[in-house]
Amino acid sequence: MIDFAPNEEQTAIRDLAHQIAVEQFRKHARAAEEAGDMPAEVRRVLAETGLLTPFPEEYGGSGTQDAVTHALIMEELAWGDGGLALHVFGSILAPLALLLAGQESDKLAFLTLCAEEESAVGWSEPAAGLDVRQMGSALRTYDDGWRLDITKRGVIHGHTKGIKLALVRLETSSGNEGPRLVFLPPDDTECVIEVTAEEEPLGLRAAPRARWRLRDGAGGGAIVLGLPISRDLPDEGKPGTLRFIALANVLLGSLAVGTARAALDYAADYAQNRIQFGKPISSFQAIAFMAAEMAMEVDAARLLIWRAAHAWDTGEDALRLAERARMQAIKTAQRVTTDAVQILGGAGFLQDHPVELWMRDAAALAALG
Amino acid sequence: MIDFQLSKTEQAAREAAHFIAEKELRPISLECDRTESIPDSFFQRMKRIGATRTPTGTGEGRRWSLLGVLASEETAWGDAGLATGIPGPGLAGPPIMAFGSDEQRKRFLSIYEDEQPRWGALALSEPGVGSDVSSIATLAKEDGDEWVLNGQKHFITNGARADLVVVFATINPQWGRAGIRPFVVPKGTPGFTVGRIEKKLGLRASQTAQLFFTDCRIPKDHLLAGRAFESMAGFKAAMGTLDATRPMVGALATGIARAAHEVAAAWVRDELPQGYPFSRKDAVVEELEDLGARIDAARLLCWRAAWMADHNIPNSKEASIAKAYAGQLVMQVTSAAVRIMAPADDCECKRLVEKWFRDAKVFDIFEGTAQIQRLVISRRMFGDAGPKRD
Repeated sequence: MIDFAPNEEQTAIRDLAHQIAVEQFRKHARAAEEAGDMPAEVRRVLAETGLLTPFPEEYGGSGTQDAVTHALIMEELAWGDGGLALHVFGSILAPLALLLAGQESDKLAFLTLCAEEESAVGWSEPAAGLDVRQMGSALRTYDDGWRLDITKRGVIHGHTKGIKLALVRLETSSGNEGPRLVFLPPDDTECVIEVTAEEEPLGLRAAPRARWRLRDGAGGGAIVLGLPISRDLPDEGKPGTLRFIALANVLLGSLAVGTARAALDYAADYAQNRIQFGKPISSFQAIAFMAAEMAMEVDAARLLIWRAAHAWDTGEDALRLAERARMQAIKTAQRVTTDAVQILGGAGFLQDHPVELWMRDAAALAALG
Repeated sequence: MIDFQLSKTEQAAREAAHFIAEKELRPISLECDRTESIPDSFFQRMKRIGATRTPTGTGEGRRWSLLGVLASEETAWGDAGLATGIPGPGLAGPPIMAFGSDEQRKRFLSIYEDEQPRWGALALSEPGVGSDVSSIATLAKEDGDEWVLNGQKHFITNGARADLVVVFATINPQWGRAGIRPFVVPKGTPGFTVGRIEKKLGLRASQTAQLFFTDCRIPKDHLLAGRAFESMAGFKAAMGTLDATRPMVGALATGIARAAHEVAAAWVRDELPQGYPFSRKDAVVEELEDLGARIDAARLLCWRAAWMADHNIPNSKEASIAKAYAGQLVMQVTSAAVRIMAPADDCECKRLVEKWFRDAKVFDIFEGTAQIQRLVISRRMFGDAGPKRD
């Protein structure tokens, strides 16, 4: 049954996320950008809400969410601050990956660790960006072992000492078997990832990011999530990985929608209070029509995200929908944040207002891939 | 709970509309465009199948707006011009439904249930009145038991074949928008004549007529004055009509955009000429990918506006967003399709794409131009601080 209204539970959790966005993210956005990390107070409040641990309680989490709810939460958080929202996004990626693609043993072994220490998933690549079909990183299996090549960029929390996962394509004797998540043990001495911090990115600075590089790694204990020991057993790793990628696209797209909505709300509010020629500038059609177009684009982007999230929740193949939605949302965020700066005029160019930050954030989102 | 799953009834209605579009509309599309007319056999077949353009039932629990939006997209995928010619109350339905009394609804809409194909029309625009609905000049004067109409209307879809026309007229030009009232004028009423049938850029199968009212007398009870009647009722009726029809017009635009996108994408996939540069193909594929996502977004915006209407949630802003977004998009998609398919040999597909390009432009114009939609949206956003009515 077609419905465009969130249910009670979704509304409650969205309101909670909005409250955190207002009371924590908005308040600490500039400080977080300056520090290049999430302030301790914000982290403490977030941890209390359980939003950082969206996995079952039996593994030390605070319960799972459906994709639509994930989208609602992420939009609100990003409305508060994109950088801090990306920090959260980076923190929940590995738990979601383990949950969706991992076997029971993986979940038991690693999920609790995710609740204790920051984790990271390498996704974007220098050449392929976020397009997993074009990934260069690969795990190649041979009769006598395997070889691992990884080149990642924009890895949120990439410097962590905790759980590290990377998206790679699996190459076996039967060829390219598609994307898989590979677990990189932190104490493996033969398979050490070279981590380089990405210094002073254009935007979203509150989420520290790094580049990963591993050439011809071998030996040790890299684990492909969900890959059965025997060929005769069902391979849950691949469908799980694809579902993980789809959900990650939904989340990133929601982050873009939240950023765009923040800019729209701020610019609309500013336009009503900024008086020129004796009238609020919102009464001039040149400004009002820009705002109307921004509102159209934000609504369109959000509905595409919801549609993809709903497909994910009903078990449909949501990957393509989610990728398209993410791309539209990021384009929308760039356009809307740039127009917001324009509506504020000279004031928009100053750091007195957050729109210059959001314009950089949207560009940094696009730069992720 | 946020849900995009159509009910079984809705899914069936959508499939039925698509079937009709594919089997009945698409095959005669180019011919009707060329002759700027629709054969009687088409009307008879539509009547026999039971196809109707605008569902106007009163049954509880049915989602009439959503059904209208679903059917609109599918039929426009077949042919938007022919879609407007499918018998039924058409644009006269929403104002009668919204502003007629129960008795009036029954009296005026029951004629659409008989064996004959019948049409309805909505007469709002005048030569001097386009976007500015409040300055309607067609005059309605009370005279005993009758209303006497004098004036001229134009751009009236199905105007020459409509069995009844809902005419917006003023009972007092000094009152501005407060004086506007909707009247039902049956075909054949003395003093009601049809002028020229317009020659157009596109949507040529659709009949667009000028209507003249010269001392045209209609009974008192042809003034639509149901529960919602009050001093602003006429203007509200006009605007309310637009809130109900804009999502459907948006859906028609979405249907054309989808058709053009499908044909262009299939051509790029299967029939690119030998030696077409890779770089150019990549650019085209990416452009189509982007437009495809936007077509999905347009559909969802139309669904949302219709969903709100079905749940009695005020939807002026959302209806305008749906219409403006889809109206703009259909131009983008069809002009891209024409450009992309330029190298194609002369074929039916290419002609269809060129026809859709001509059809598309009006979707940025009728039912409120792109600019009027932006006015509606921004006034909803800004209230008193928004663009003023002078």
